[in-house]
This record gives sequence, C-alpha cells and structure tokens, in this order.
Amino acid sequence: MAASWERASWLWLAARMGGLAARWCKSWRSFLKDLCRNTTSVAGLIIIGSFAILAILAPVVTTPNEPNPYRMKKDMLHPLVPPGSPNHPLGTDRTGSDILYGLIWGTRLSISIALAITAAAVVVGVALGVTAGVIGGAIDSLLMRVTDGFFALPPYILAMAILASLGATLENLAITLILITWPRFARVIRSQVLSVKELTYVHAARATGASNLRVAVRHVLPNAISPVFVQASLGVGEIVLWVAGLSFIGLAPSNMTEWGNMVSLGQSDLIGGYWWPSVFAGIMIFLFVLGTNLLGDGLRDVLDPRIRHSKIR
Amino acid sequence: MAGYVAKRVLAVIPTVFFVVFLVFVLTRVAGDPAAMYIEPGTSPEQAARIRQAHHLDEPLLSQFVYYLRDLSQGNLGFSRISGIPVLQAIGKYFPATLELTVISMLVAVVLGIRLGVSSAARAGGAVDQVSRVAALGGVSVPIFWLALILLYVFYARLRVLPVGRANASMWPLSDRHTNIYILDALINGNLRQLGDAIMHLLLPVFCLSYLQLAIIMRVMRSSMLEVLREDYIATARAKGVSERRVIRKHARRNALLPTVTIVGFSFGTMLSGSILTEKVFNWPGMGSWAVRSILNLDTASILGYVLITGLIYALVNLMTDVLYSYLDPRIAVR
Repeated sequence: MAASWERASWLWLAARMGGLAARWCKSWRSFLKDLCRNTTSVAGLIIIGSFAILAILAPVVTTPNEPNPYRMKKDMLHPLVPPGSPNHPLGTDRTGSDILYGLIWGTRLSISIALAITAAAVVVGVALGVTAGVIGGAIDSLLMRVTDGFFALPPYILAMAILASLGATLENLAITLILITWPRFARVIRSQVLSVKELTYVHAARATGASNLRVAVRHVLPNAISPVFVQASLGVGEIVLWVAGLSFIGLAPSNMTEWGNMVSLGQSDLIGGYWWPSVFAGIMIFLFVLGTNLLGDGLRDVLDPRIRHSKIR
Repeated sequence: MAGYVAKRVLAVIPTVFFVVFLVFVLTRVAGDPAAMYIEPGTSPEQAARIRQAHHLDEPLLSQFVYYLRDLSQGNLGFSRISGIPVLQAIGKYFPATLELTVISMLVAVVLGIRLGVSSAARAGGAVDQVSRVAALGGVSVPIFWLALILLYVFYARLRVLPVGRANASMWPLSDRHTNIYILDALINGNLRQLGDAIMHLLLPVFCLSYLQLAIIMRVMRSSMLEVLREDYIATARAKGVSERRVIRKHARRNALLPTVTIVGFSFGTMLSGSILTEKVFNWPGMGSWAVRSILNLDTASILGYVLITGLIYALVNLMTDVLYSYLDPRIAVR
C-alpha cells in the first residue's frame, strides 16, 4: 500500500516536472526562435560564440605555460619580433612575450573574470532587489539609499579608489567590481518587481495565502527578470572594458595574459613603430565588447518589444 | 521653482557625505595612516606619540570627526609625488583637466544633438546608418586603445599632431593667467598661442568626446523619433508648416529633455575617460596625476583626487537637475 502511494507520488512529481519542463522548453523554443530572427543578436551571438570556443580550446590550440597558463609565455631571446614570423605568428613584445599566446589565454581569462563577476553581481543584486521590492517599507528605502551611495561616483573612479587602497590583486579586482556592479542589477529588478507585484495575478496568489517567499520566487521573479538579462549582457562587456582600463593604469597584476595589460605593456614601444603588442589585444577587447553590445541590444528587442525604440542603439 | 532647487541642493548633501565617508574608510583600509611618519629608527614610544598627535589612537568615529575637521580646513593630506599638499597639487592640475573635459563635453553635446536630429529627420538614411555604426563603435572601443591608435597614427607616423599640452617655448609664465590655455591665448590676443593650444587639444578631445557623442546622438535620435510621432507634430505639418521648421521649432526643443538628463551621467564617464586619455597623451591634468599617484602608491593623492572628482560629479548632476526643471517646469511642480 505504502509502495503504491509512493509510486503514485513519484509519478505525480514526474508528471509535474515533465509539464514544467515542457512549458520551459516551449517558452525557450519561442524565445530562441525570436532571438535567431533578430540579426543584431545573431551577430552578437556569433562573435561571443567564437570567443567562447577560443576560450574553451585554449589548452588544445596552445601548449599551456607551466605552472600558471595565465602568465605570458616568454621567448627572452626574441623581443619585438614582427608578426608573421614562424614561431610567433603575431609577434612578440619587448619582453619576448608571445602575442598570440597572450590573446588566446587572455580570452579565457577575460571572459571568465567578466562572467564570474557579472554572475555574482546579478545574484547579489537580484536577491536584494527582489527582497526590497516585495517587502517594501524601511528595507526598501534602506536599499535604495545604499545604491544611491554607489552611484555617487563614476564606477570606474570608484573602482580605482577601492583597488588602489586594497592593493592590485586579481581577487581584489573581482571583489571591487562585484561591489560596484550589484547596485545596478538591484535597481533594475526592483523597479520591475514594483510594477509586477501590483498585477492582478500576484494579488490573487497573495489572496490564496502564498507566502512572501513564494510570491517573490514563483510569481514575481519570472516576470521581472528579463531586463536583468539585458543589463547582464551589456554588463559583461562593460566589465571587460573596466578590467582592461584598470589594468592599463597598473591596477591589476602585471605580466598576466589580460588584454588591457597587454595593451599597456605595448604602449611604450608604439611610438617607435612597434604597433603589434598593443593593437591586437585592443582589437580583441573591441570585438568582444561589440559582441556583448549587439547581443544586449538584440535581447532587449526580443525580450521586451515595448521598449524596442529605447535609448542607446 | 526655488523650492525645487533647494530640495535638489539638500539631496546632494547625503551623496557628498557618502563620498567623504567612503574616502575616509579607504584611508583606513589602505594601511596604517601613521606609517608615513614612522621610519626604521623610530622607537615604539615615538610611534605612540605620533599616533597620539594624529588622533590615531582614538575610536574610528572620533577619527572621522577629526578627518571632517581637516577637510573643512582644506587639509587633504600631503601629496608625496608632488611634494606639496594635495589640495595645492589638485589646484595646479585642475585647469588642464577642466579645459579638456569642458571642450570635449561641448563638442559632444553640440555635435551629438545636431547629428541626432538629422538622423531622426531621415531615419534609415545615410546619416542615420553611419551614425548607428559609429555609435556602436563608440560604446565598444576601449578609450585608452583608441587614444594609443590615434597617437600612433597622427603623432608617431604622420607627425601632424603634437602630444602634451603646449609647446613650452611659446608659453612664458607671464602669459599664463588662468592656466586655461585657450582663454589665455585669447586674453593675450596671440593667434599663434591659440593655434598651438587647439592643435594640442585635437587628439585628446576627439578621443574623449567620441563615446559621449555616440551616446548623446543615439538618445537625441530616439527621443526625436518619439516626439515626431506626437499629434502636435501632425497638426503642425497639416497646417502647412515647413518640415525644417517642424523639426527645429516643434520637435527639437521637446526632444532635448531626455538628452539633458544623460549629460550629467555622461560627465561621469568623461571624468573616468579623462584619466586614461590624459595618461596616453601626456596631458598634464588631474587624471595623469592620479595615475602617477597610483603607480607610486601615493594613497593620499589618489583619495584626494577621488574626493574632488566626487564633488565635481555631484555638482554637475545638481546642475543638470536644475537645468532640467528650467527646461520642463512641470518637473518642479510634481
């Protein structure tokens, strides 16, 4: 008896999950279909996809540097080799670092840094923003005042101040950037929550006795989250730019295969006509950020047709 | 209106307080503030006396009060890299940054509005397409890299444009009245100086205004398109007003409002950009001074820079708010 009851409940659970999965698939399919119809986002996806493949295949296409593959690979005997030489297809910089190796492992490093920072900032921002929006009252005003504080300085300058005080390590760089980016996600999701939570179906859910948590996670969040994706996509690109910019003024560990760092290392030789150490790394930054901007714009069009004619396009 | 302005001014106070508080916290996080007075031969008793003299043995809250008192007297600490007090150093580098950012902002606003209006007037036309691509480039390109490329092409290769701020031989000290070289050249009535100042400004201004120009242009374009869909535009056209007049008199003025709001925000990006641009072009302003402070771990100078920049940013945002309420009086009533 107990067994059949158990089986029934498992069956029920499986059916329930299956239904949910089918619903997800259906909404995902239509989402993907819309996304593929949008040329802007397809262009963005192609660019970002190529970078992602390069990042994943980095250990396959190059021999990783021991012990730390994210350090530049050096050929001390051949500094400033021009592009096109057999051992160094894109040349070397003044310390003999191979540019191609730096670009490939820089892709891996820059993308993982940017994704990790954005993911952490989204989680923190969404959790706090939804809490504030659903509960409201004093907690909401407190959160808004705190985010106001973070907007009191231009983000790059705030990051510069914190990093210069804490010391320029990779961990501090990540902490700093999470610290300065979560408020924007909190803001975006909060304003969405405020409008969604007044919709009739949310009132209905409350009337049936749903708890704050259930209302937040089950009813409000799924309908409020899409602008966060747009912001996150644009945010990844922005973080790559900030990391590169901070690295350029010496606020990231030197000698890493980080694009901004590579541009910075090459700048002193630029005047002398050795353009390749700086130029290639800059092109990588530009293309990647371009991809995230295209994808972000495309996502905005697909996820919310109402704001199709919005600010920066 | 006056009430609204007063309210905005009051709202700036917490922002400024936050910036000051943040900078204070960072001075304490950055390491022992007494370290700069302590040398290898300093005895523990002497070190304790130094701490006492600078109130570093007291609770953090009273240290903060002392810090506020110092600030109110204009004491931001001592800049190690410049060998003068921080405030004095900032005073020395401020005019160069002011000249660069204000001119870049003017270029971005004037050109951005013009281009935004013309791309909206013929949406989908050549100007629109080109400006869209250029704007996408503007938000994607790392500004320091753009600066380096310009430097390489125009300075190192073509040798047509100079770097730095001025040809020193052309600028005797007696000719520098305001240290804003364009103004100085006009005051002196010296055309060669004016030419020199402008030539030195071309590259950094292009670099710094490009991103802002892109943003302002796109915002202006989309807000123009929105306004052009309004009924009163149809009315104006129906009664036979020329298209040129519809654009200039009826649409443009109303489309300006959203653009004004982003100018304040843009200014923040411009301040950040000026750090990188100044460094690349060797522009002797606050930005390159801040970078030098970072490279030399001169925390007092860095935080002084952050504090002053935060104040300027707050001030500019206040000004845009006030300007907005002047352009759209409904804001103040709400």
